[in-house]
This record gives sequence, C-alpha cells and structure tokens, in this order.
Amino acid sequence: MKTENLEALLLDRAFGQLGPEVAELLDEYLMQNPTVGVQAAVLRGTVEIARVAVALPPSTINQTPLRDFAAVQRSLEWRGLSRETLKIAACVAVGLSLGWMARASKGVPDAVRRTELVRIAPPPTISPAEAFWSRKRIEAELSHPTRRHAPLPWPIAQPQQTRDKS
Amino acid sequence: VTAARVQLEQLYRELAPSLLLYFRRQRALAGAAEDLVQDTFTRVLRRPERMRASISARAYVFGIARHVGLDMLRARREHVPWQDMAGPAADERDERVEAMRAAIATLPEPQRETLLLRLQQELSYEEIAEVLGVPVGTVRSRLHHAVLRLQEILKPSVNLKSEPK
Repeated sequence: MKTENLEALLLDRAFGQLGPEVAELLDEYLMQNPTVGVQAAVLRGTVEIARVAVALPPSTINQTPLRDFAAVQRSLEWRGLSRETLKIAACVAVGLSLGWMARASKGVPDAVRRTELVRIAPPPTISPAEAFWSRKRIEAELSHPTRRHAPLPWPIAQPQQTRDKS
Repeated sequence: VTAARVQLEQLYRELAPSLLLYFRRQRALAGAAEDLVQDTFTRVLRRPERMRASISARAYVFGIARHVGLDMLRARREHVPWQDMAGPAADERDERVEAMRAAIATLPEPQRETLLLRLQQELSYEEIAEVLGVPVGTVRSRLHHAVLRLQEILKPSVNLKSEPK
C-alpha cells in the first residue's frame, strides 16, 4: 500500500470518516504491520485529545439562552418593511434633490423665471358698435372705399422658357 | 407554507444551540453571538429554497453562519486573533489537553477552522467543503496537516513522514 493512501486512510479513521468495511480491512493490515499500527494509534490519540480540548462542558451547552423562532421571524418581517421604507425614502430624497438642483441651477434663462413676461395682456376693449363686423363699419367701408384692387389678368400667361445656348 | 414553517422552526431548534456555541467560541464574536444566530436564520428564512441544493441543511446553515461572522469582522475593520472561549472541560487537569488547546491556537487559520468544524460541529468532509467553499480534497489535506502539526508540537519525538506545507 502506498504511503499517501495509508496516511489518508489512517486520518479518515481517526476522524471517524471511514466506512465499516474499509475499516475492517485496515485493521487487518495494521495487525500485520505493527509499526504502522503504532503510527495509527498515535494519530488517533492526537485526534482524541484535540476532540476533548475543543469540546465544551455540557453545563455550558444547557445554560445557553436561545431566542424563540418567532423573534427571528419578526426580525425578518421588520427588515423587509424597513427595506421597503428605505426604498421610498430614497426615491423621495432623489426627487427633492433634483428639484432643488433645478431650482438652484444658473442655466435656466431669466425670461423663464420672470413671471411678468409670460402674463397674458388683457384683451382690448372695443365697443360693439366699432367692431370689425359691425354694421356701422361695413356701411362706412361701402360708402367710402379706400382701396381698389386691379383686376387680375385672366387667363394667366405661362412664363416663356428661354434656353441658354452659350 | 405552514409545513415549511414547521420544518424551519424544527431546524432552528436543532441547529441554533450549535450555532450559538459556534459564535461564542470565537472571542471576537462572542459578545454578539445571539444577534449573529438571529442574523444567520434570518438569511436562511429569506431564501429557504436554496437549502435544497445543499448537501445538508446543517452544512448550508453553517456556511451562512460563517459568512455572517466574517461580515461582522469586516464591518469592524479590525483583526482579532483567534482565541478559544472554551471553558475548562472535564479533563481540565490533564496537561495534554491544555497543551493541545494552546497548540490548536497556533494552527494556521484554514487548518484550525477545518479542524474545529470537524471536531466541534462534527460535520462530514463534504459538509465542511461546502461550508468553506473548497474541494473535499482540500479539507482532507488541511486536516492532515493540522494533525501532523499538532503531533509535532505536542510530541516532537514522534517522527512522521509528511511535513506540513
């Protein structure tokens, strides 16, 4: 048996990770090779002492307080709620920041900010008697025509096409 | 949903004491052990379906617990050397046990972590591999080197063939 394989088997056995059939075969091998058997015993002894060294006394385990499962679930629900709240708060903060930046920005033209310029002027006050379609205005136009239009030529002559022979 | 909740509650009852000890054993995390256990199971409850892809529920929960502990240490931004919080065991008068505790404290962190997961939590090689995110061969190698190193420290006269790398 190769040394690497043997060491791996001895280690697995010391840590209790060897199957029963393989362990039985290993025992037979160790009985036939006492030198390796001593090495295996030392390895197992080391692991066992380490196991004792890292073990806790049972009293410590029994005295350990433990929160109930409902507390863990409440914690999960609270975290989910707080996460949603944080998302909404982040959106509001971003919106407020953008609004503040747009307002404080110098790139906005002054004309936009001056509300006086965009005010709609009040309509001119014209009495109904002087309106465009009032009878008085039409009669005045007919009795004193101020503008005569020349009659349009008809039919309209087509423009003559000239060829540039040069 | 109710059945899943009952299963998770049962898992909590089984594993929470071990997790509490797992955190309490580390001096840097001992003060916040209860909170860390709660954080661990909160993460488990958030995505319980991931547990099915794991080798075992125990390995999955301990893997998360390890990350929870590492996150807290990173958040503190301080390196606290590992120190066992173990109280005196039944063999407190045994000098070999005390010497072994001191020797384990001197192991490199990957070896010590692997050894403790095997001896304290009794996780299998495959489970340890999942918790640490390393191949099974690496787990076996770390344990091998750890034991050889402990033998060297405790019994310098014992001559083994391999040397820890």
